[in-house]
Amino acid sequence: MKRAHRTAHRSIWIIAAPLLVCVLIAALACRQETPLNDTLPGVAVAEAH
Amino acid sequence: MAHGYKAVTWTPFKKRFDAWMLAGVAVYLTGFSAASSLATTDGESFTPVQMLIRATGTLAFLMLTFILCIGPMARLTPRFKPLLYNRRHLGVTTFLIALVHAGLVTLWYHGFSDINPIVSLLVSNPRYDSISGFPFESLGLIALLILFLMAATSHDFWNANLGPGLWKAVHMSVYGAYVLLVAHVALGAIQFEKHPAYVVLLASGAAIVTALQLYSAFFASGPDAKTRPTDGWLEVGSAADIPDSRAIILEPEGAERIAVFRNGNKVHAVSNVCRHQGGPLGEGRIIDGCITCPWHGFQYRPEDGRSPEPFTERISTYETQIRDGIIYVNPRPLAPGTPVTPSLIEEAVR
Repeated sequence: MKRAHRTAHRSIWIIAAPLLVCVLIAALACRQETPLNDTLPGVAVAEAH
Repeated sequence: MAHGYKAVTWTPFKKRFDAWMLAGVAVYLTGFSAASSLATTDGESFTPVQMLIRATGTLAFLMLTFILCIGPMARLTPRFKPLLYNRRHLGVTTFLIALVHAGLVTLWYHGFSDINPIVSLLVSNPRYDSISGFPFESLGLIALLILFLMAATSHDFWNANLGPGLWKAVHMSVYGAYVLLVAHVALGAIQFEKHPAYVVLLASGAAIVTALQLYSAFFASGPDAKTRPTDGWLEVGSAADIPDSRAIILEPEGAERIAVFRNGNKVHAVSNVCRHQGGPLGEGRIIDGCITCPWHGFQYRPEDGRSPEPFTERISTYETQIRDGIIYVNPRPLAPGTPVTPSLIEEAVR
């Protein structure tokens, strides 16, 4: 690999690695116990529960 | 290897590779559907289309995860090198599977909309300020567009016409596509799929890719020696330290790497960068008298850096000398294809 590509590869993963960790943590932390669907009327959701 | 357009040649190995790959895809899709049917609890019901949406989605994620592991794994073990040769076949297949997934999702969930299904996909959920309700479809769509760009330019015709540098830069966008794909799954399927297998699959896949890519970026791709020139020449080391048909890679300060090969009692120095896709020639070996790139098998004669006839690729060569059993390289590259007389290793050193 050329020097420029090695540098780009390193730079990308310095950013991508923490970004992936943050996305996964945020997604798991905000995960709802019961899936919500805002387009459904409240009555339908309550009935489903 | 020539720069003109050439139809893809299907060697027996490529045919076997593709047959195994397609068989694997068929087995996965069938197995996923069967396993999902068995795991479905009372009260849940999925149509065959929904099952296929899940099967193609998980398969595309697994395939892209696997593809991104191939490069670093090929550095760890030569067993992965055959996969490196045909990685593009896997990439194009991944794009096609992701396209089926996107097409089914768009038609199944937005096909009955009053507006264009793709417009509906993009505008029906404007909750960009939410994590659990984020319109994750847009992330998947951008990732799909990147995969399309890569699949469409995967042929060597584009590599030759864009130039290896630009082609490589375009194809490095796969890392961005992977981050988008992980976010697409994390903010999408993970938010409403309660089976723990989805979380395990996503987290372990992302962790393995990240670990391998960081290892490759910071540890596995380092040169054998970083050197500064003394009296205008770089010290490589003892001739006895280079195994026959192999190379030591040097990194002159502020310049491209140099691969110093030993071929019997001869020492040759050439650019470490393959003309095809920038592969590390110094990690390859001399086969049939030619330096052979470990990535796709492009070959160069060690004495002049030229590909054997009828191919036309050329790489830079460097002057070498041996003093008291120590190899030295002149760090000034000669014009690509310039013949250089090799230095000879004395019998006592060998």
